[in-house]
Amino acid sequence: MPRKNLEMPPARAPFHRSPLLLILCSAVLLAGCHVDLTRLRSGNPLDVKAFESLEEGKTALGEALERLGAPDKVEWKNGKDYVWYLHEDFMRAGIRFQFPIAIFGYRHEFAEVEGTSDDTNSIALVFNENGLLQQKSLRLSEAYIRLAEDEEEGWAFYLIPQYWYSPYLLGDAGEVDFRDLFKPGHAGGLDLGFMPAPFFMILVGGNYQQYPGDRFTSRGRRVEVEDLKLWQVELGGRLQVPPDFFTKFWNLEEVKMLLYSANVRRHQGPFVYIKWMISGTQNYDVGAKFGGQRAGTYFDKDFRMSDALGAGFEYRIGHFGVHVEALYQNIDAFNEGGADLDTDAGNFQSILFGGGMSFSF
Amino acid sequence: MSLVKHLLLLTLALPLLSGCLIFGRRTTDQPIDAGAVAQLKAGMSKNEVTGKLGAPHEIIFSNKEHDPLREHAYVYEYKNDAGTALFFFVVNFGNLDSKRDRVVVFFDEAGKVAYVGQSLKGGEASFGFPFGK
Repeated sequence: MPRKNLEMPPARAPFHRSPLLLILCSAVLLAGCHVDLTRLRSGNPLDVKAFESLEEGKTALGEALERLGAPDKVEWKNGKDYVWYLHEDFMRAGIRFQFPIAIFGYRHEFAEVEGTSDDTNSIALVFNENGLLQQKSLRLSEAYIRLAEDEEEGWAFYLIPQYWYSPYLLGDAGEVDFRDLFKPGHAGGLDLGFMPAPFFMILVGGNYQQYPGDRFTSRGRRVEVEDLKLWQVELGGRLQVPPDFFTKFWNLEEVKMLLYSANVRRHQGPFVYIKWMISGTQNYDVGAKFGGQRAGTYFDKDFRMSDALGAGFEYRIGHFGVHVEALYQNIDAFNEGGADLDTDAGNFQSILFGGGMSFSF
Repeated sequence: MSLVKHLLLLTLALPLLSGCLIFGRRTTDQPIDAGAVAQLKAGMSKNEVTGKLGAPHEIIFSNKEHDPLREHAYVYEYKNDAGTALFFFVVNFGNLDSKRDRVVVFFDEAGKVAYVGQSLKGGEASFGFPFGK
């Protein structure tokens, strides 16, 4: 008997909704991602100009003390004074990836990349038996050499109006999924950014979101829901780096150059950023209709917590910038409404794509 | 609860929910009196120095062959450490800024003050982010 030619079912691409799953995987990865930055500085940054003003054979110990202050280390050997001025700068930068879900308070860390640098910048002076400078030397880390002595320091504030489009809605809405309950929505908002350091921004703001209601059939009834309208007040942050940082990440001196700069005006050109927000969400009643007749509410208005995580790209020129970003948003489950429907929903999740402008002052 | 009350509660609660901010300070010994340091003059005796600044934290001895225990310099020091930690959802920052008051009094062969070096920076230790020089 001839063997049946068994036809294999057509192979489906592993992620047939690849863009959405890719975004979700990225969001999950980001949710477990932590950036750690530790810095220990002991002593005062060395006064390089004062060091350069010292002249071998001419400068006396007393003059050197007046220009440089008290030395951090003193030794006396064979009639000569050896003095050192020291500034220690320890830095540790790392990225950790943990599972975003804690089990009994434990979150397993499955990957970590870190770099540690322990620099001791120093000025060493030797004074002869007559108390005159015999030898001077300076050791500075590369990051200190490349940064200007008089780098401008200060804070900056940003006004950031934004708009998003949300094509993907996720989660169980009770009767149906959220993607069947509402149509893709829109959001607009305004954030105030506070930048105390060149690559880190604290964000405070709010936004309004609206998702048009859709129709579905339930138990032979044609159900129509009203729009979902939300207000959010949010607090979060943004960590941004120039794109070439990722090619220089293994060079610790480049990382230090980035961190040691206090000049917020360096925030120019292209940047890649990660963004996280925690917010409070106020939703309005979502009415439901059966066959055009009002039938109570699908969700009742209430207040709940929500969070968002995402990444984006920004380009700045002067005081003006534009950015585009993708966000994953998660809002705690809405209150059940009174309509004769299964309105016991899970968390409302959505993927938002958008962007905006920023103005610094 | 009205919308206004909700928003007010959120404004107060969000900073608590979104992360953690820690400030800490540690000092070692006492700040050095700038006025007392200003009174140190060349030619003063060791007793006069200790009378104004107290017992030194460290004595630098000479290692001359014929006079190995000659006191070459007195060192006075005060340390001030300011630590800041910010745990903010995705980023964790830690910063420790350590500054010192330090005075080194050099003596000549006769045991009299020759030079005084002072750096009184202990009060400049500050809380902050791990950025900048």
